[in-house]
Amino acid sequence: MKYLALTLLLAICATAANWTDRKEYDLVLAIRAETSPQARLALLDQWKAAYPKSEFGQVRRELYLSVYQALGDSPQTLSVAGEMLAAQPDSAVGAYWFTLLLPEEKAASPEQLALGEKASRQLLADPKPAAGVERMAHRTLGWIHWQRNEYTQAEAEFEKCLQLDPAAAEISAWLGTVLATEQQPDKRVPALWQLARASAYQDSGALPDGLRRQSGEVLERLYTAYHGDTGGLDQLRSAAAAAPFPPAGFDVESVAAAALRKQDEELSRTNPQLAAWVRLRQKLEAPDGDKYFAETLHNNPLPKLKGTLIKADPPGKPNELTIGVIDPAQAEIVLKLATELPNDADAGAVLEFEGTVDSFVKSPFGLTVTTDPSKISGWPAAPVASPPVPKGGHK
Amino acid sequence: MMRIVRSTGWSKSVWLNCCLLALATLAPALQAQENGKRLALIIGNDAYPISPLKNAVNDARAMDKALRSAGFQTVTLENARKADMDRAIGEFLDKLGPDDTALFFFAGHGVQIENENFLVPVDFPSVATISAAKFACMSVARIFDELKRKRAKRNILILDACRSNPVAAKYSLEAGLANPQDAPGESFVAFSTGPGQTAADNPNGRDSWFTEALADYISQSALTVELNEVFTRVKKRVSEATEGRQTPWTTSSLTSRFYFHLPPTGDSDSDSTLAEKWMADARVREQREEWSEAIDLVNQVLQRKPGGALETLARNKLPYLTARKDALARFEAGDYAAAASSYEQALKLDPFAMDAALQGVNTYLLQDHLPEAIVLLKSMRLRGTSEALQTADQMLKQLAAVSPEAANEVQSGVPQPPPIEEVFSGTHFGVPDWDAGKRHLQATQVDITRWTKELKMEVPMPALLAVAAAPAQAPAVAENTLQAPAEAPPDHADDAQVAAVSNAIFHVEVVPTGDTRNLRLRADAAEEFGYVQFDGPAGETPVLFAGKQVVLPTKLKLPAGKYEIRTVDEGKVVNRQDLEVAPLSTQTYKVKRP
Repeated sequence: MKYLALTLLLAICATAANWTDRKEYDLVLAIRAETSPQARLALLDQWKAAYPKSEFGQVRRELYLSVYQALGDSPQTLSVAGEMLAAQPDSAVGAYWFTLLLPEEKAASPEQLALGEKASRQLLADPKPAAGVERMAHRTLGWIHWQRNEYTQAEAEFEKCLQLDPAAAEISAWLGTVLATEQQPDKRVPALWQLARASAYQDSGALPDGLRRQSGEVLERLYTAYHGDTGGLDQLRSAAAAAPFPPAGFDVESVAAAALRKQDEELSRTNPQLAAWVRLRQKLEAPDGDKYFAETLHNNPLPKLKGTLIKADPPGKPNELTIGVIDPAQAEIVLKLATELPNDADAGAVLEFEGTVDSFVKSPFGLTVTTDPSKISGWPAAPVASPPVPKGGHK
Repeated sequence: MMRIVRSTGWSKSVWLNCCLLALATLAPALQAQENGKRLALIIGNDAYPISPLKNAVNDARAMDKALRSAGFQTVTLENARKADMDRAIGEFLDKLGPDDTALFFFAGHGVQIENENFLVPVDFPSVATISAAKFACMSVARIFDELKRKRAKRNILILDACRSNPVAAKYSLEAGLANPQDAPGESFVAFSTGPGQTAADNPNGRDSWFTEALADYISQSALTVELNEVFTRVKKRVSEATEGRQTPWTTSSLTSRFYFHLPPTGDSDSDSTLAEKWMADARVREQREEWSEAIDLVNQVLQRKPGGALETLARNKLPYLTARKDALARFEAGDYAAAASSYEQALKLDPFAMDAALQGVNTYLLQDHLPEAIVLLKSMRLRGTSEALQTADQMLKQLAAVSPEAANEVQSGVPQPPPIEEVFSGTHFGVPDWDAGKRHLQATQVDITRWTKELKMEVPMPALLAVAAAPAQAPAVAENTLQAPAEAPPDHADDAQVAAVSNAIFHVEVVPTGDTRNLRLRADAAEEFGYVQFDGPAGETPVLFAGKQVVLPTKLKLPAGKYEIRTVDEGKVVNRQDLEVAPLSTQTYKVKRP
């Protein structure tokens, strides 16, 4: 409705406009008759120079726009669209072409980005936009946020685009690039998916061969850095060609995850006790580690572990032992004993212990476990006192 | 007398001069279609001492311009003597390679002598015998022989040389050219008319009928049809223009298709801007009053269903063009009533077509239909330019003597011109052309290389444990660091993987050479460590310390003390460097392959 009203308003305005004189009319007829865009451009320049205050200023801009468009001059078309918006902020033609062409601008200024955002939102405000306009507006909004390094908003706009047009491989390429730019662990796999789609999708909406090949090269480079090699890349391409978004739970194992997995497999085989502690520690150090502690570990028994004594307090009859499990020099567990131990032990003593988990600090990592001396093995016995040497020596 | 015009190929100015459309987008496609060059030798001879011609040089120039627009490198000779022709043909042949397309065009006098074709230079002498005449001309058979020897990918020979001529007359030879004998393989030969027939110069034009049509079609970037189809159109047009007196003739042994202009992808269906190019060409045809050509192009546009303003424009334009074509045909047939009706119809369809209005006025006046003529003159006064208005006023003044209505019209003063929306009827000002935008988006892709070329996806390696059987003795590796074990490093590596590395691949070893502090007795020994950052090719070179292994780049946390860094290749130490690690210090060591 807004567009209809706007069109009518423009029509009324245009009808009210008058020719300055017959020569202006002659000039416009010459423009109408001219078939060469270059010659038409020259005539438009002539009209503009001779009648700078013509009442047909906005029509003239629209004619300029169509000529630059015919000449394939996108920067000039964009510039004229900007002029149209400056002259008439709600110009539908200006808003449409500015929105459409802004992503082609190689170094858009903050002012252009602001104008592009306004124009895009103006198009989106139309309750009944023409086919493809909504998608185009989200495309430009995403691009604008991207240029401003507002990656989350850019993602959201590009996702809307893909929901409206799942075949838009160009948007997949953009979204994949934005996701990869963010360098966030949880966005790496979605980034690979989108780049895979941009490079593998070949139906209507596909990228031209050259850009598809470029996307494929970027994908292979990033995938290799992430995964360690190109194993599984073809399967990723096939899956991404079939759907614009990855299915729930989709994952590609990173080179780090693979190393952890291999370590876990090896530790489980050679030292299951340590493997269990490493897994437990990884869970506690994960972002939701506090929740895991509260729900699963707190006040529950700690499996039997072996560790190295770092410190025993107080000296003499200690009741608090600091233990390193992975690193013999790095405190990880503090054992709080219900009763004191009868004697000291040297740092470096290897102890086996169990107990009940009491408290947890994430950084620096520390787990407090309550236990009693009966649940600790490996504690050295008190040295036996030497018998006194009798005075006077031997007979 | 002779002038040689050379072009060395793709220059921007040539493109801009040659065509109005965005031919630059087609250039890569032409290159993609053909690996070889497109080379053309063009000769146009007018200045014969006897029986000079008036169009041949123009023909050569028109072909030069057209062929350059189609990506040919051209050499053009005007009014060439025998020696000039010999030399130019020799140079032309020397440039040809096996992947190239060779095109030879000659406009001037040609003659057949004993069933062999000869091209006549402008310095053709007065000779007594037929044999001498042969030597004074350029033999087409000789050109064929040389082309055979060069084995270019394809040869295109076009002769607009079938005019009646003095040589043929002097020696009482057969008219026109002979059926070409022994043409090279992969060749296409075209004559401006059939063998044994003569072609006429175009008395009213700058170019011959044949070359005018051919150059015109070659110049049309939107005409992406194969070579044979181009000549089919040339034949039709020349035949129509000469009322059947002249029909160009072609023969071909080409085994590959050749296009003067190819759509960007080689597949016209994928070029979303092709309809726009056709429409632009149609408008040029319309201005030249080439109604049939314009109608063909508009029909092509409509078949493509481009939507939006373009389709509306084409849909509106078609009946107008048809009316103009009908009007002309009826006028030429002497059916003035029908012609006038068609002109009037055309004016209704395009109220600003002042030439149609004027033609209509003249046609009505031919029939003494004054009222109808005055209606059209009024239309000219209302919508025409100042010039059209003056013309209409002059005619009305003359008619005023016999028509009061004409007198009244003149006295009514100059009417107000119509509003601009009427001038550009069909253009909806203020409403975006959504379909044009859609076509633009389809045809344009944003290059994102500037964003993707720096993209990285390095994954930080997590804290990994060196796997060992005894947990309490397992040293820890912090993120990207390898920390020394609390105990003194063992002398031997207990890890099979490490052993394998030591024996085979390029690696770096960190070997303690002096006392390191025994940390076992210290509870808080952080200040007793220092760090060494090992840099080098990521992920490739293992660093071994205390029987454990990490890969570059890595940061080792080492007990303070003295070390030797050994670079080992294929089991041999190729470099040694001493290093002293001070507490809390950080040093960098760059690993270099020998």
